[in-house]
Amino acid sequence: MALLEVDNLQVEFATDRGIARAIDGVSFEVNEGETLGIVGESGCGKSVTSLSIMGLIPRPPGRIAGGEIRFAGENLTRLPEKAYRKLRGSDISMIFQEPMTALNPVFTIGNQISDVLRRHKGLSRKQARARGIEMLAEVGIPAPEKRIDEYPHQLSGGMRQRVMIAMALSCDPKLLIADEPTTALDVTIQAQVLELIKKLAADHGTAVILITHDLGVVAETCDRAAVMYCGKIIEQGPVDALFEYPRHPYTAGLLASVPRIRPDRLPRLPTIPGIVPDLLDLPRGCRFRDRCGQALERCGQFDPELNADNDAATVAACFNPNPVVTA
Amino acid sequence: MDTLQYALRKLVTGIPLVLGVTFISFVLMVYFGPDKTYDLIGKNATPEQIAEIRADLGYDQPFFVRYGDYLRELVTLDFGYSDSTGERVSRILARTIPISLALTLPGFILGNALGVLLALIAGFFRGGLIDRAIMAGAVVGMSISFLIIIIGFQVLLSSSYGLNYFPVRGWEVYSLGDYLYYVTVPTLAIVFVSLGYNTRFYRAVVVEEMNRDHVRTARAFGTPPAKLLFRNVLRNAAIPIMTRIMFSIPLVVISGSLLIESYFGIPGVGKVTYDAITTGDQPILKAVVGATAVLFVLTLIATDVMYKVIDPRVSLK
Amino acid sequence: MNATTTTEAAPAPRKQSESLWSKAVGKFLRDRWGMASLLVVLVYLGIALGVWAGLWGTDWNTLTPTINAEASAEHWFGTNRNGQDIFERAIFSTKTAFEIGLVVAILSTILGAVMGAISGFFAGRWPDEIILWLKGVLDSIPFYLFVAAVAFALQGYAFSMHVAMVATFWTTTARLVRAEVIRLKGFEFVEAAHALGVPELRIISRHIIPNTTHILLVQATITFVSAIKSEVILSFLGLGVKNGVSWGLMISESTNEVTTGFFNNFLAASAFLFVLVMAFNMFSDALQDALDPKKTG
Repeated sequence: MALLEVDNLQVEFATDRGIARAIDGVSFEVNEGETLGIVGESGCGKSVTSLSIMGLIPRPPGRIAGGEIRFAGENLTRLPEKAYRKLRGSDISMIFQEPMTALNPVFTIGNQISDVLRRHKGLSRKQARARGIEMLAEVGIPAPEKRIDEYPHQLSGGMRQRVMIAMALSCDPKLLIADEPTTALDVTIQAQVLELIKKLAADHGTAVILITHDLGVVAETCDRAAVMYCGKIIEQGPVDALFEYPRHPYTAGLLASVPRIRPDRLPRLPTIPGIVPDLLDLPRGCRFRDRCGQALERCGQFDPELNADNDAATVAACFNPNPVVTA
Repeated sequence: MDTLQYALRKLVTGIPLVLGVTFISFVLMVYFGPDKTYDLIGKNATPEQIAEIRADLGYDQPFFVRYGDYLRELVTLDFGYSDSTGERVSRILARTIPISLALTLPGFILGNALGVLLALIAGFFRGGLIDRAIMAGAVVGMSISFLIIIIGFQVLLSSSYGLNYFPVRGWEVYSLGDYLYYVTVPTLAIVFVSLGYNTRFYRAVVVEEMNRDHVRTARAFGTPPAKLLFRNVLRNAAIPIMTRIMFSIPLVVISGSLLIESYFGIPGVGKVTYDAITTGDQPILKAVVGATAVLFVLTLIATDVMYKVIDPRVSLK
Repeated sequence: MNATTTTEAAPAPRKQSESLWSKAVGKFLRDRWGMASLLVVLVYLGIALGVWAGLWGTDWNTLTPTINAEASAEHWFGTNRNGQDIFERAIFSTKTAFEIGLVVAILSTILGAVMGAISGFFAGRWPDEIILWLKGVLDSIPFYLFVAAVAFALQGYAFSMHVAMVATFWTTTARLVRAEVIRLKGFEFVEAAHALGVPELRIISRHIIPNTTHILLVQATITFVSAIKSEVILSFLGLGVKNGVSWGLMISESTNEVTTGFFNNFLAASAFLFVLVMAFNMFSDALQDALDPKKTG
C-alpha cells in the first residue's frame, strides 16, 4: 500500500459564470520516502491538488466533487475537520511559494515554530523552544538561538523559506508537500533550498510531493513525475523515462520549450501554439487537441484516458502518442 | 524615550489641524455668528451702554485680535463664563464630560466588541449561510435611523406601552444600581445603531486578513479555528480595527451623546452642547469645538504610538 | 462570493473582451436583490416626482378638525395632533428626502471628485497638502456642531443644512478618489500620455477622472443615504428642514405623541424612511459588486 493514494479526484469551484471543474479525475500514488514531482503550467490544477490533500480547499466556493484521497489507508475526503487538523503539520506538512508572506508578520519565528511543536508534540514552552533552535540549525540558519527571537521581516527570503522548511519538518511528517518552494527565490538560493529539502526529507524519511512549473527542478529532485494539463494528469512515470522519451505531445512540447544550453543554437525557442482552454468552456474530446500537432479525428470526439503501454515506461493520456523508444 | 520624542514631534504637526478647526469654527460661529448684544441688554439702553456691552463681548476688536483671544482661551483652558447660566465653562465641562463618558462608553465598547465578534464569525464562514445572515442583519441595522432606534427603545422598554422597566428620562445616579437603571436603554440604542456599520467594516478587515498567505500557512499546520481567528486574524487585523475605534472616540463622545442626552434629558456634555446650539451660547461652543480638535490630535498621536506596539514592522521615524 | 480564490482554476481569458460597463450592467441585471432594491428606489422616485408635479401629496398642510385620528379610509394613516393627514405628509416628505439626497449627493460627489483628483495628481506637493489639511480639519469638527455653525453663519438660510452636508460629506469621496488617482498615475497609459507631452489638466480630465467613475457612482449612493439619514437627526435638533415637511420633522413631531400612545405619525415616517434607506443601501451594495473590477466573474 502506498503512503498516499489519490484516486479519481474531482474538485469543483463555483464561479459567477458557472461551475468550473479544476481537477477532473486525477489519480496518482506516492510511496514512503519517495519524491513525486507534479508539473504543469499555472492554472493546470496542481496547487488545487495539493490544497485538496491538505483539506484546505476554500469551501465555498470549492468542493471535492468525487474521488478519494487515501493517506496511510484512511480516506481523507471523509475525515472530520478535527481529525484533519491533527494531521496537518504533523503527518502531512506543506511549504508554500511565497516565503515573504507565508509567515505571520506579528509573531517571532520561534513563537511560530513552537506553536506547531506544542500543539502536535505536546512539548512544553521550553522544550519547544529548544527543539525550534535545533530545527533552525538543521536547516542551516546561522546563530539560531539569536534568530529564533526575530520577526519574519528581519530575515531574507531564502532564510524565511528555511524557517518554513524547519517548521514543516519539525514534527517529522510522513509526507511533505512543497508548492513551488523555490519559485520566488533568487536563482543562487534556489539550488540550496532544493538541496536542503532533498537532504532533510531523506534524513527524516519523509515522502515529498514537489509541485512546480520548472522541469529542471523536477529533473534534479524527483523520482517520478506527473504532468498536469487543464485539470488532468496527461502523463506520468519515472523522471528519467519521462524526460528522455516523452510520449504525450504536451510533455514533449514542454520539454522542447525549456531554454537550455544546446550544442546548436536554435533559430528560435520552440513554443506550444495556442492557449489553455477555459475550464468553463472546455472543448469536446481531448483538452490539448487545439494545440496539438498530431491530433487525430477521434481526439475531437473522445477524451483519452491514461493508458499503459507494455513497452513504455510512462503512461500517457493520448490516442496518438510518440512512439515508444526502447533503449 | 523614542516614543516620547516621537509623540512630541507629532504634537507639533498637530498644530495646523487645531488652528484650522478653531479658525473655521471661529469664523462660522463667532465672527458671523449671532450678535449677542441685544440679549444681554436691558430695554431702552443708551448708546453708551450698548458700546460698553459690545466692548465687553469683544465685538469692537479687529478680527485677528478676537481669534487670538480664542486661541489664548484654548491654551489656558479658560473659556470664560456661559452666556446663559453664568457658570464657568471649564467647570461645566469638568462636570458634564464624565457623565457623557459613563453614558456612552458601555455602548461604545459593546458595539465594537460585538461588531468584531460578529465579523470574525461571518468572515470565518464567508460565503455561507451564517455569513449571509449576519451581513443581511447588518444592512438592516444600518438602515434604521438613530432617532427611530432611540424612540423605539424608549417606547418598548421605558414606557407603559412596553415593558416599562427603565426610566423615560433623567440621570439620578448615586449607586451602581442607579447607573445600570439609567444607562441600559441608551446603551442598547448605541449598540444597535453602531453594530451594523461596525460589523460590516470589521468583516471586510477580517476577510482581507483571512485571505493572507500566513493564515493559509497556519491552517496547513493544524491551527484550530478559535486560535486561527484570535491569534492569526485578529492580531493582524488589529491596526485597522484600532484605527477605527480610536478615531470614533472624539465624535462618539460629543456627537453621539448629543442626540441621546438631549432626548433622554441627561445632563452630559452633549446636552450642554445642544442647549448651547439652541441658545447660541458661544463660550461653550468655542470650548467644545476646541476641546474636540485637541482630542483629535491626541488621538492621532496615541494611534500612531499604538501601531508600534501592535506591529513589529512599524518603526517610529 | 469570492471568486478570486479560484484564480488557479480559471485563468483563461474570456473569448470576447467586454468593456467594464457592459459587464457591470450584465452583472447588475443578474443580481436579484440589486434589481429588487432598484425597483423600490424607482417607486420612491416616482412618488417624489408625482409630488413635484402636483399629482399627489398636495394636502400635506391642510388642517382637518379630526386630531390624532386612527387610520381610516379617509386618512390612511390617521392624522397628527394638528389634524393633518399623516399619509399625505409622508408622501410629500418623499419629495423632501429626494431633494436633500440628490442635491447633497451630486454636489458633494462633484466636489469630492475634483478635490480628490487634484489632491491625488499633485500627491505630496502643496495643493495636496492643503486639501489633506482641509479634510483633516473638516473631519475633526463634530458634525452637528458644524451644521449649527453653518446655520448661524448663514442666518437661517433655508439651505444651510444642505451647504453644511456638502461641506463635510465630500471628504470621504475625495479620499477614495485620491487613492485611485495615485494608483492610476502609476499605470502605463498615464505615463505614456506624460511622455507624449499631454498637458496635466488634460490628463486629469481625459484619462484619470473617467476611470474613477465607478467610485463616484457608489459614493454618490452612499452619500444620498447619509444625507437623508442626517436630515432626520438634524430636523429633530431643530437644524434641519425649514419649509415644508420631512420624515425627520414628522418623527420629531411624533416624540410628543408617542408618550400619549399615539404611534401613527412615528410609524409612518419611520417605515417610509426605513424602506427607502434599506433599498438604497442594498442598491449601493449591488452597484459596488457589479462595478468592482477585482470581482471579474
